[in-house]
Parts: sequence; C-alpha cells; structure tokens
Amino acid sequence: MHRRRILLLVIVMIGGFTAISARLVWLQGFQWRHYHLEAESYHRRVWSDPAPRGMISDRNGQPISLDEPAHQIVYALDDLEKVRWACRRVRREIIRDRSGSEFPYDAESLWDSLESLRASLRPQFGFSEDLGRHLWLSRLPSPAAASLARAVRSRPQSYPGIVVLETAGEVWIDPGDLFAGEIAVRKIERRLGLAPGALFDRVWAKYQTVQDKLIPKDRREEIYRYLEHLLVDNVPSDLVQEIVTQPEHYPGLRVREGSRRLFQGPPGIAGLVGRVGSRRERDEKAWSEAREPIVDRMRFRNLMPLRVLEDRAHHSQDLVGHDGLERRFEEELRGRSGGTLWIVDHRQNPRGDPLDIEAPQPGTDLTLTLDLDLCRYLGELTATRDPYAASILVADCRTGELLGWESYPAAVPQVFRNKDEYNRLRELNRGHFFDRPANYAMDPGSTFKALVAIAALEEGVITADEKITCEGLYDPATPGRLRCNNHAPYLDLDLEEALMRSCNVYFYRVGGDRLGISKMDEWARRAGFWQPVDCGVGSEAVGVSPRSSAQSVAIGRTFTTTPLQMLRFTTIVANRGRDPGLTLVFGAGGTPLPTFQAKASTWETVISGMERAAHDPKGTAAKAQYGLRKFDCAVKTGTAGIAASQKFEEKIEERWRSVVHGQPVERNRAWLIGFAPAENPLISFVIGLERVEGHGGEECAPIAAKILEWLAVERGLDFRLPEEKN
Amino acid sequence: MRRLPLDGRLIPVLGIPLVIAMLLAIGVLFVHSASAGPEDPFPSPLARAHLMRVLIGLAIFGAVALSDYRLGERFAPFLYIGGLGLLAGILAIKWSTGAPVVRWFKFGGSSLQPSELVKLFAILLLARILKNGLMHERRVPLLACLAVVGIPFLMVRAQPDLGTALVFLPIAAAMLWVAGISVRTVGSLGLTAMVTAVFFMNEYQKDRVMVFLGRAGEDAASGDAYHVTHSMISIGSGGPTGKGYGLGTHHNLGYLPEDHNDFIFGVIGEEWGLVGTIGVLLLFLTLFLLCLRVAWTTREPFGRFLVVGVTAQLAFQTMVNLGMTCGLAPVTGLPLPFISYGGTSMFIVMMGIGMVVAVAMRPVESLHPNGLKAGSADRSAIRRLNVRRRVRSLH
Repeated sequence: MHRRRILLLVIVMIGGFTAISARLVWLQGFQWRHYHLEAESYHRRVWSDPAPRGMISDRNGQPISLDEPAHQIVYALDDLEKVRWACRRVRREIIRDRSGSEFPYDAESLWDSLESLRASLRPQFGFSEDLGRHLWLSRLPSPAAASLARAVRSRPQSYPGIVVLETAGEVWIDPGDLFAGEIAVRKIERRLGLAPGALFDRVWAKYQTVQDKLIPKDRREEIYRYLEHLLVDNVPSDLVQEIVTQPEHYPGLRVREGSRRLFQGPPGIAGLVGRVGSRRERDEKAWSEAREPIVDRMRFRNLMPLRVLEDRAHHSQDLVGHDGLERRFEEELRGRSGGTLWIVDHRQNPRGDPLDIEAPQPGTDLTLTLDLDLCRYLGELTATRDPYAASILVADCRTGELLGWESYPAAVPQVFRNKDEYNRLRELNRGHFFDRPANYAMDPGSTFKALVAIAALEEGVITADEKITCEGLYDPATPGRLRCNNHAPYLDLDLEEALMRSCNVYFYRVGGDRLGISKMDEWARRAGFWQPVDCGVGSEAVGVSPRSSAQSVAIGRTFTTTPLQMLRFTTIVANRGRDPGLTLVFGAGGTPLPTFQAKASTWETVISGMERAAHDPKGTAAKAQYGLRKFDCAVKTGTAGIAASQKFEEKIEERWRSVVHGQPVERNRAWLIGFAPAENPLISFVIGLERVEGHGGEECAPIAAKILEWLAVERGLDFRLPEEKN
Repeated sequence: MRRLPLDGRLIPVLGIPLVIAMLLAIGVLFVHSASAGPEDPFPSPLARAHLMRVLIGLAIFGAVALSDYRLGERFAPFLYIGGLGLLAGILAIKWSTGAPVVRWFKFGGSSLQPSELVKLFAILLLARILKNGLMHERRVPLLACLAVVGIPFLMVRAQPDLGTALVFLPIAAAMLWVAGISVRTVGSLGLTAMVTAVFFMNEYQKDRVMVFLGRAGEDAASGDAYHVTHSMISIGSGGPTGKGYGLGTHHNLGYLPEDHNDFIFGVIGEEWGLVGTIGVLLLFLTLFLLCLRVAWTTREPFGRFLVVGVTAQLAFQTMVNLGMTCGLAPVTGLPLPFISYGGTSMFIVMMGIGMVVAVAMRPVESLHPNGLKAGSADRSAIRRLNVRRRVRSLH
C-alpha cells in the first residue's frame, strides 16, 4: 500500500513543479518583454535640463525679451520631509512583536505625538544649531525596544535622528537630524526675509498631496520620490554659494540652474510681447493630448529613447508663454529640454557613465519689425501727455512692417513679481496689462469719413465737385441731434473741403442718405474693417460692425474698430489701394487683403482732402501750434464723444471721470490717421487717445508731428515740406 | 539483446550525489554573482564562505552516507530530546534577555540554528514510530507523531520562526500518509493545522499573506510586496535565455533584496533565463524523484519513512521558495536548499540527503522477515541469506 501512497506523493510533487514551471514559462517565455522593460525603467532615470527660450529682439537686434540665468532651490520630498516615513518605520518595528491588544501605539497617535513635539520645537528651528535631544516615546515593551534598536542599528539612514535607549525602553529624537529638512527651509525663510512658514507651508501643502488617497498611488510615489519641486526662484548669489559650499546645512535642498524671463522693452509693448510663467493646467492638458512628455516626470516606463526629447519634450520648470507674442510663438520660442540618462541603483544613485546625453536646445530667436527706439519715444510721448489711455501705431507702408507700437498705460512683466505693485495697478482699472492697439475696439469717429468718401465716389453717389451746404445740423426739426460743430455753419462744401474740415452734415447726407449702411459696410469690409489683421499679434479684437443709423455710421459712430484695423486702412489709402499686409515678426508676414479697387481720381480727391486737413489753415490738424503743417503728410482726424457709463465711471480715478457730481463732462476719443509723404508715402500712422478734452487734431496732431520729427532726426526720414527744409 | 547487469541501487546512489553536486555548484556560482560585481574576481568573500560551508556539507554528506543510518533509529529519541533541549535553551535565552527574536546560538563568529537540527531529529523519531505502520494500532502512534511534530512546532513558533515551524507539517503529513493514515484524518488534521497557523500568525506574517492575496496595505506594499515585485521583475527580465552569468542588472543594482539568500532563484532567473530556471527545477525534481525511488524500492520501513520525511522537507522548502520568488506563494523566509547562502541549514540538508543515500545503499535489513521477497535490489544480501539458509539446512 505504501507504494501507492508514495506514487501519490510523486504525483503531488510533479504537480507542484509543473505549476512552478508553468509560471516560469509565463514570466520568462511570454511576459519577459514586459518585465524587461519594467526592469529597465527602474534602472534608468533622466536628469533633465530645462532649455532657455528664444530671445525676442527688434529690427535692429536690440533685445526685448530674453532669458537670464537664475538659480532655483529645489527639493525632493523624499529627501526633505522624512518624518512621517521614519515614524511609520518606527511603528512597524515596535508592533512587530507586540503581545496583546492593549498595545497603545497606533499609527495616528504616534504621528500626533511626534508632530506635537515638532510644534513645540518649531520656534527654535533656524535659530539654534544645537536643539538637543528630546524624549518621544517611553515605557516601550522591551521586545519592541529591542526590535527598534536593532533596526536603527542596521539601517540608520531609515531612522534619521531616532535614538533608542533599549534598556530604558525609551525613544529619543535628535531634532537637528529628524527635522533637518524643515530646519533648512526655515533657515532660508529667514535669510530671504520671508514670513515664517512662507516656504515651509508650500512644502507641507505638497506633502499633503502625497497623503491624498484620491490621487493614484503611482502619481503620489512620483511626487514623493522622483519629482523635484521648486522652493525658491531667483535665489541671491550669496545664498546659492552657501548652499553649494555647505550642503550639509541644507539637507534635501539642491540648487538648480534655471532661467527667468527678462523684459527689456518699453512698457508700451509689454502687452504686445506678453508674459511667460509656469505651466498651467491647460498647458499640461494640451501637451498630454499631443503626447509631448514632461521630461522630469518621465520614468522611462516605456523606455523611450532620449531622442524623444527632440522637438517634443517639456520641462516642468519650463517658462510657458501666457499671452501676447510669447504665447503666439510658443512653439518657436520655447526650447527643447535636454536630459542625461543614467543607470541608477535602488537608492537612485547614478552608476557609471551616463548612457545618453541630450543637450537642451534653446528656442528660436524672434525678430520683430518694431524699432525699439521709436517705441520708446512713443512711450515718452504718451507718458508726457498722460491721457487716460492711448494707442499709437507706426508702419512702413511700403512693406507693411510695423515700426512703432505703443499701448498706454502699460506695465512691464516684472510687475507680476511684485505683489503690491501689481495690486495697485489692478485697482487703478486702466488696463495696464492689456494691449490696446490690437485688442481694444472703439468707434473711429471722423477718421471713418475717408472710407465713406472713397465709397461715395466709387459708387457714384457724389462727384468730387458737388457741393453740399452744411447748416450746422442735419435736420432742423431735431436740432439737438446730428449736429456739425467742426466749422462755421452755412458753408457750401465739396468732398475735399468736407474731408479737410471733417464736416458731419456732408457725410450725413452722402453716407447716411445716399450710400446707406449696407454699402458703407460692404466698402468697410473691403478695407479690412471687422476682420483680424493677423500681423502676428497674440490676440486681436475685431470690433462690432454697424447695424443701425446710417447717419451715425457715416461719421464713424455706433460701431467699433481697433487701431490696428485703422492702420491697415490708412496703409491701403497711402498705397492707393494696395495692402502690403501688416507684419510684426520677420518671417511671419501678415496676409494682405485683395487690392482695394478704386479709381485714381478717387484716391487723388481723398488724399488731397487729407493733405489739406494737415496744411490748409482751415484743416482740422493744420493749426500752426500743432506742428503738423510743415510736414508733407496726409491726415484725417476724428473725435468721438465718450458715452458716460455711471457704473464704469465709478471704477476709475476721479480725474478721468466723464461724470462728475452727476453732470457729464466732455470727454473725447481723439483719433488721427495719416501717412507721409502724401505722394509715394513711406510711413503710415494711427494715433488714438482716450478721455481727452480736445478734439482729434488738437490732441493727436502734435504727437504725429513729433513722431515725424523724430523719424527725421533719428532715422533720416525727412518728411518736411521743401519750403520748410529751406 | 543482453541486459546490462545494472544494480538498481546505483541510480540513486550515484544520481543523488551528482545532482546535489550540480545544485551546490550552482549555489556557489550564484552566491558569488549575487554578492559581487560583474568584474569582481571569483570567489567573492561571501562566495568563499559559502564554498567552505559547501565543502563541510559535502564532508558531512559523505560521512552520513557511508555510515549506518540505523544508528539514527536507535538514537532518535535521545537526539530528539537533545534537540528539544536546544530549542528550550533558545527560548530561555529569548525570555531571559527579552529579545524579540532569538533563533541562533552564537559561538564567536559562528552560529547554530537548533530548529534546523530538530527538523531532522523529528524525522528520525517519526520514522521510528511509524516503521511498524498504522495498520493495527492507529491512535497511539498517531498521537505520538502529532506530539513529536507539535512540540517543536510550538517551540520554533515561539522563537518566533513560523516559516521553519511550518516545515514540520508537510513532513508529518507525508510520513503519516505513507504510513497509511486515512484520507479523512488527513483532511481534519490539515484543516486544524491551517486554522492553527492562522491563529499563530504575527502581524507581518499576515501582511505577507495579504500581499500574496493582493490585498496589501501601504506599509506592507513597501516591504514584502516590494520583495515579490522585484523578484518577479528579476526573473521575468531574464527572458528565455537570460542576461548572462554575472550580468544580471536588477540584482546588481540592488533592487532585489536578499539576492544571495532567500531570493537567489531570482538571480538565476535573471542571468540564466528560462533555460536556467527550468534546468534548476529539473535538477530538484530529479533529486526528489530519486529520493522517492529510494523510498519506493527499499523494503526497510524505518529507512523508507526516513527518506519520505527528508524528501518532504526538502521538496516543501524548495517549492515554497520557488513559489515565493515567482509570486505563487507568500513570502516565508525559507531558503532554497543547496543553493541559498546559509550555514546550519546547509549542513542539516546535507546530513538529511546523506541519510537518503545511506538508505539507498542499504535498502534491506538482512534480518527482516519479509525483506527478501520480490522487489529487493540487494542481491548480495539475498545471496548471503541464501547461503546462510543453505548452511542451516545442511545442519
């Protein structure tokens, strides 16, 4: 009988070995690639290097926005905040041989006792080097104390600052070791003059995410063990030197070479250039959808070669364009993070030489068509005049290259690093962080009359010589509405004179009565109104097209347009119908509109009217004190009264209010569009001022004159009339 | 065709030492690989120490194999009581010092693990009790067997060393099974043993079982689950042919804990691949089948039970270790016989296997009344007995 039973033992044994063999065949025969990759992914780690962004410069090579080296202090939670894990290890050892359920040390009570001890010692952190030893646990059962003591002896690095008195059954802590990370952070807080907890609270908040069970375990492990988190940016060099030379005083902290964006242009183009900052959720989402990895989060689980960094990789500390050109040209400007691939041991220490090094690729430089000196000058002009808001644009009307850009008021991006200044500017509510020329659409006032004149001539609703009498008002039955105060009443005006004097009644009759809204809308669209200019700006408003009251539309009211669209229109007029396509960035040319077809006589009439506006003594911009009369230019002024909104007026500074003590005060939007010289023009420009008391000519013509003067002096573009030159 | 006059004894007598030699050689090679870098010269300090133990183990094996195993039968009670005395000594030390875990007597630089000795002594005593079978008188030998196993089980468990203590159960089960215990009794004893084992488990042992069942908490996951995970990665990454001897990266980089000891099979799997692991498995299976062949062929009941006990012990230990490293069994801390780095364990295993070879060399007790019937391979003994009978008949 025993043989049968032995046979059964044989069968059981063969069965057991067959099961193990099957498992081995599964692991090593079928799943080996998976495990091979898994093993390699554990062995490899990338130390990544963020790449500098490309520089933005003006047409003369002057830097506008560039990266400058900056040091950052970073930390890995695993190195910095070891307390809870040490506490867990202590608990695991002392419960290992517990006897009986009365054992009092559950995980939370141990943790609470350690935390209360830390709280009591916290006032000394960063002040005193010698914090002594403090009793944490007492009356430990001797097996537990012995087990813990042995564990501490064999793996002291897992129990930093834990001292076990085995015979006494006590556990003491050395705060200098156990809380070394927090002490280092608090030391830095003091060095930087920050409020206590300003930095450590951030560390603690990050640590809390590791405790959040709702976050997947892999992600928590990544946050705790593998990722480096930013503690301080732009660290002063003396502190950098101290941390680098005395790392033992700053355990868990590392100095990393980083960069910060430095804006060197005038404030007037800050909104245009935009600002950069750290990545946002939407950036991460976009990268994720485009399968673009964040290098310093990669653990090479799928063993992507380091070459994937080319073109696609991001770094969690990369600066990302948030708006303006920085965002529009993000792909060109952003660098490609580099990395060094190391084989690491189980403690994440590199072994041997790096397997692969991919140097970071700096981003592509961007050259703007702007002339930075001109932009600065425009800034000075507006700052001297100090209107509520202003937009000034200057372009080379032959090529469409934008030369001058001014948005006022404005703040340089460095303001975002100064909380108080940032809050102060926000409270002013004047749009310091807003790029007006491309994004603020407003009614163009009488500057629109130039387009109405072209449309009227082309549609044949009027001839250049036909005279219309202006009585100072459109309809005697409603004398309070549709008035003309731009010249003395009872004048017979032809088209040139109407443009020169900017007669409202003339254009009520021609535009409102004879052309109608639809025709004006049609011709305006041909000139690019209410369509994006797309010259390379980060964002752009298109304005609101007219819907009612043809008479108002004829004098540029009841609809809005941006200064950039007005510049395109001015350039088209200057080029007699040809749109070169406005361009802000070399190599990223704007799309020109189809040629604006009009008869040569039409252009001559309209441009002649605009010339007389600048030179004729009766012209709207021709007063001697304006200074524009001496330049060979053609301009059209415009003035649009600002409708006072009680709600808005209350938000702004008193000096800008159009409603004072319940009474409306005259506040205008002053416009001037023009080009120089009138024949074969080189320069086109648009000036728009807000909440000024004077009309377009009075407010804007002196500015235009100064711009033309500056171009003559600084750039040799002398637009003075021959008699003035002599 | 004329059959070769191959004596049946030769297969186990030559085969078992041959297989053991191969396993021991593999053990030395992989203790070196686990404890040294790819460019370090052979042997590493750990491999040298292991080699010394292997040589001592081989000497013990040779001495035991050439001696009369029946001495063990005679002295089994004394050895067993002596072993229990050593276990009691361990417990006395543990309780007197208050140390949480005491498993070894330490003499200067060396140490002795009495629980390993007691395993073998218990097998000897069980074999002595069971040699007459359970056919006529069941209750007394059964209770005696349970006592022989139960007392050291409880003492070893109190050290505490549940992994080693558990080995007593398959030993007893296999020996009682061959002795003819009923299936119902086996079932009820097995159930009792399982309940008892669960009752005696420590926190960390429960954690290990939870890890095995995939229900580990976070603390356990960072410990035992880590061991199993990296052992499986190590084995799996070896693939069909392995990364080459000494070139196993996963253990060389320190990801595989206890790689020279309990998890040495992970190193073999990584460096020799499926070919190597199946090869080692076949060696073990061959060894155990050869041992059971000895039990099958021998007509001497004490030897048979002795062989069954030793084989059960080694097979259980091997299967649990292999199962543990490839994720089929919970982590128990049992080393892989003949291969893992170890002292007392190595000597006792060699002593046990030496006894198996000793039984194979002397399969028949010459004076046994039924010893000369069909199936005996000891032809010389038959001849000697026949000569004696003839002489008696002549008288």
